[in-house]
Amino acid sequence: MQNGQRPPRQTMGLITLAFLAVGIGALAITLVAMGQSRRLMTGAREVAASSLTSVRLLGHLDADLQKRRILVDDHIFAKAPSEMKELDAQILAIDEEIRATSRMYDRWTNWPQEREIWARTQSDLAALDAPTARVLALSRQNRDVEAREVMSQVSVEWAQVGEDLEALIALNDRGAADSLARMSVIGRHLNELLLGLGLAGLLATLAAGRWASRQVARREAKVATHTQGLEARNRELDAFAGRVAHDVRGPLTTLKLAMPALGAKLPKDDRTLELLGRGIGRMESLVEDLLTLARVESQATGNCDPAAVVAEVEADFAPRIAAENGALRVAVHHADVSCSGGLLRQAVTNLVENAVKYHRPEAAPEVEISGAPSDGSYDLRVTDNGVGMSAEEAEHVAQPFYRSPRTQDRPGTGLGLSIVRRVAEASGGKLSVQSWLGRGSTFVVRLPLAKMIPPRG
Amino acid sequence: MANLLVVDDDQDLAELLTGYLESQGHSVRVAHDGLEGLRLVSERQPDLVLLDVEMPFVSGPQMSYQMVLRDCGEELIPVVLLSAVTNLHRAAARVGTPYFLGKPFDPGALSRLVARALAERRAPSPGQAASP
Repeated sequence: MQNGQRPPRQTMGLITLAFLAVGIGALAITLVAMGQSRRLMTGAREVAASSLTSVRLLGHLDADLQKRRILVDDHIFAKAPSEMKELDAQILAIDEEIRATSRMYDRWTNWPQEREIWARTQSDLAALDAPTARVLALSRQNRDVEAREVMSQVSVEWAQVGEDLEALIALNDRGAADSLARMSVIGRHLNELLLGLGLAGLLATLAAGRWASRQVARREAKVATHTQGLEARNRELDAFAGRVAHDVRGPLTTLKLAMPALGAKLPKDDRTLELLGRGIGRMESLVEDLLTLARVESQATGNCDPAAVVAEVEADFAPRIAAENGALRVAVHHADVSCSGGLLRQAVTNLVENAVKYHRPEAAPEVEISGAPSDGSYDLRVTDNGVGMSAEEAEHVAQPFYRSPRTQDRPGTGLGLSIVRRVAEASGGKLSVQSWLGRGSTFVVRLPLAKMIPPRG
Repeated sequence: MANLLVVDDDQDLAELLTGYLESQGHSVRVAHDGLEGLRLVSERQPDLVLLDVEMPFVSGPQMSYQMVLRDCGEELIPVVLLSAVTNLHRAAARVGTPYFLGKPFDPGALSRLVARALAERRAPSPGQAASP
């Protein structure tokens, strides 16, 4: 359980990336769409504005041209030279205005058709200049009848100019209306796009969320299957170890029970019985150690207080160490670590057992057990002044059945430190060793701290 | 001294147990499975039954239930469980006996436990559990 069933970092990274991609994509589309629609809107607005200006200018032009015709008529009608002179000046002024308006309108033409009509209008107007000049000249000489005749000759052209101007106005009117319509269409499209984008974003978020949760669920299912498989294997191993132990312990009992009968038949100084007993004892320890080793995983649940566990071990060993004139010093802080109390006791027992067993012949065993939280974990150290190990030996010391060549004569199964290591690892911690040949060793069992309030007492 | 019944499917062990307990002055009968054990119990009540847990046909715990059922619990014959199973204390709790010894045991420990069980049988209440 301590390993947790959260999906690994990789999946979380993928999920975050997916959300980020969706978000950035939506933002980019929105920005592009807004820029595009703004450009289109601006274009349409410009067209609309220029059309409206054109309409105004064309209206102006039309009015001026009509005024000019009236002035020309007045000129023909007028008799007094002074009157005619005044009208001449007015016609000149209005001509100037017409030219100015034409130049201005020239800049506001939008469409090819418009330009075509405008070019025709301009050439028509230019063609009318000469007859008008003749009319005015005849009028000045008061040849009114001839002047009127010339005027009536060009009336078709005048009408054509008027029609063209009307066509231009209609064209621009329509253009302005079109542009305004286009603007409203763009606006509507933009609204639709934003709405669609919002919906798409919502859907994408939902899809991404669904995908993410499915990913997490799949990962969890995988972990659960794996955990189930491991649990099943642990149960099997547990049952197997129990069966083997049972079947080995039976014959061992037979051997042990046979010893008294055998002893009665042997001479007093015969060592056979002692050797037999020792052999049986070794097999017993081996079975117990193998059983413990095989069952560590299936029993590695729960929390305990290392101080309480160490106190028990201290009580177990105190008489034996005192008998060897040794010393056992204990300084263990209270804490709540995730490790089964029974297993930790076994581990500490094995470590102290080793410390006592492998003491130097010339020095009494001095064993120190200390424990304190460190870096979010809990370090339990067992230090001795024993024979110590070389770096190479220290590397192999926690392998099952490894025994140092220098200490093979001492009793042991070669499983004690394997058990300690497996207890540490099954609890989510580890075992490390520091050793100095001929001076002693320090074994550190690092255990995870349980996230709970330490027990009282 | 006492009339004992050894029930164990390990024939070698049963034979050695018999020899050892007889050398201690007890009279011993042997059965190799629960059915045979029940037959011997009904033939003549033993003072104490030394019972293995795992046996063919009728296991140790099953045999002890049957013993209680057949005499309606009037004669509470003490049972000493002897077994190599890994959770012997639980089996003992199921059987309801305070006496159990994990194999492999020392002959001395066995004779001490037998003596204690016999002594407590005569006392009104056996009391606390024995340590294996």
